[in-house]
Formats: sequence, structure tokens, C-alpha cells
Amino acid sequence: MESDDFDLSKMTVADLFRAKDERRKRLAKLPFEEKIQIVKKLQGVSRSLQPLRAANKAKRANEAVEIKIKTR
Amino acid sequence: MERVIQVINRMQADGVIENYAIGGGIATVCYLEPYQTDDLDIFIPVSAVAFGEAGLVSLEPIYSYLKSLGYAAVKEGVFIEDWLVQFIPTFETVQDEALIHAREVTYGDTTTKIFSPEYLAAELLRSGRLKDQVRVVALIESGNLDIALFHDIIKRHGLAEKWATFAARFDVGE
Repeated sequence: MESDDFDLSKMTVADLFRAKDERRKRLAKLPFEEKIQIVKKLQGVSRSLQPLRAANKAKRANEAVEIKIKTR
Repeated sequence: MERVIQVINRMQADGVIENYAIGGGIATVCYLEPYQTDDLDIFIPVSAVAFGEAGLVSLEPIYSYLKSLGYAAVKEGVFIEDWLVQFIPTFETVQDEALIHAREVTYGDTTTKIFSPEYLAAELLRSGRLKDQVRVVALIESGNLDIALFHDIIKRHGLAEKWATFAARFDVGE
């Protein structure tokens, strides 16, 4: 997407979904090797977040973190 | 990843496994956009596994071969280079056929085999976890799937009923 086109105030939810879909299709066309490199990067991100997630899980287990669910 | 494929190709050349094909998340990434998946699923013929006295399946022949190459088994599979590789014997007919009809794909300078999108979708449908079902929808929507072939596969492997439920749930055409 060109920066000139990117105006959040004019974007609708449909635009966001369309952009997301276009991105998905663009990524799907990448060569397999490039896709695997992205998978590897994603694995790295997940690994780096693991201690944080574990700490949050432990806090939740001790009820130290309150999860608020907005129903309306 | 290329090194991992080379190790598995060598395993086949050495006769430890007759055949293999990549399925699961990595096969899906081959046809769709990349997403996070932690392991590499390698489907192998049942002939590659050992059966214990109680009829329990053992991957010992594979694990000991890989151990001799310096790759240790962990609880879910074997770490080969920086990939967790899981070996899955093909106990289902659809998996067996997927192995036979796997596509040859080149990765770097190395050739490997990957489930075709039709067999991959059929196997994911059979497996039936929520994340598998999401991938079936994505494969259908991607346009990479020969729908007639997919329907033929699911019909021949007793998955028609599962498909009917799935199609109604996800509002995909029967």
C-alpha cells in the first residue's frame, strides 16, 4: 500500500479486511524458502515471548492478574 | 531447513525409511501464507516402524539411526539442526495415498516431497482439530485446490460425512 493511500480516518473495516486479504495473498505467492524464513522468525518471536507468557500464566494462577471481560 | 531435508533424504537412501512426505503445518505453508508452526511433520510408511510384543508402535529404528548422526530424540520427536521433526507413521489410508501422490518440491538445491494440497486438505479434515479445519477453509479459499480431486479423495477414504458436517459448519460449498 502506498503511503499516500494510507489515511486511517478514511479507512473502513472492509478496507482493513481487504488489505489483510491482499497481504495474505501476496505472502502466499512467496517462494517456499522465503516462507520458511518467515516461519523461523515467527518461531523466534514466540520463543522470546515465552518467559513473559509463563510469568503471566503464573500470575493468573495465583490470581494476581484480573482479567476483565467486557460484555457490552 | 535444507540441511534437515538432506538428513531425511539420506535416511531414505540408507533404507531406514522407504518413502516420506512433509505434511502438517509446513506443507500448508507451502500453499498458503507463512504462519508460526513449531515442528516439521514427516509422514513415513508403517514399514519403517517397529512393533513391540504388545503391538505398540516404536520409532526406535528411526531414532537410533538419527542418534548415530548426532541428533537426539526429545519427547515429541527429534531435533535435527534447529527443527523439531516429528515422524508420523501412516496408519490412515488417506495418509498412505498422500505419501504416494506427494509433490516434488525443490528447497535450495535439495529436492523433497510435500503432500499435494488436495491430500493435505483431506488429511487435515480427517485430523479435525480446530486449527486443521481453519487450514482446510484457507486451502479451499486459496484456489490452489482441485476441488473435484479433493471430493474424490474424501469420498474414497470415508470422509464424506465429516465433510458434510464441516461444509455446513463453515459455509463452504459442498
